Amino acid sequence: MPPQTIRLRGDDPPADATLVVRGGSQSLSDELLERAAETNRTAFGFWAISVFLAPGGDLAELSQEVPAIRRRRSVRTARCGTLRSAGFPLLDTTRHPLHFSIVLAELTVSTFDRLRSCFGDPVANPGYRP
Amino acid sequence: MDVADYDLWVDDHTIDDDGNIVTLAKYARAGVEPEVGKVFLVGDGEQTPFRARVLQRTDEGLVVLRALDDPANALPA
Repeated sequence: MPPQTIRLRGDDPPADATLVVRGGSQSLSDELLERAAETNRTAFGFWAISVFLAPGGDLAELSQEVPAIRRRRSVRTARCGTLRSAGFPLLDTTRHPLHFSIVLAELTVSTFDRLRSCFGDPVANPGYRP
Repeated sequence: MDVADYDLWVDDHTIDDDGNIVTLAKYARAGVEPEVGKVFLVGDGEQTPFRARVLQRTDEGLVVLRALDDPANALPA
């Protein structure tokens, strides 16, 4: 049994157009995806990576609310619908209302490539504050 | 401070139900032991490292941390 429990908030599924944000320009590399997914599995019992949603698409507003985004000069974004269409479920995990887990079925380069293909190139974070 | 000057790698998107950051002890730099109560510089090589206190360490190697300067992903009141 994993040492931590993680709860689902029971939110309505986010709309396909909702923006999914992952801070940093390198945080979708094979190495860092594997580290993040292994951490999640050890803590909560399933492979996943954490992201935050920006329901209004406003990165500056999201940065004000989420230090993990605010601390990054750049971010990468995707759309909920794109991720779901590519076979990546999104779970509304933890009590943080903007936190979601992208579930990974396996930790392989092809899975990582497929996940990265859902995200755009890094863009400057207008809410960056070190 | 250089972005590489951290003791323990974290992905600070990865939080628990209380908004604490979770990582693994094996991601600590050589010679660093993330013991409960100690404060470390944490980072990922891309962001400016920040201070966090170890709240829990399990036999499975899980480390739970609380950011000190800017509580990571603190829950809304």
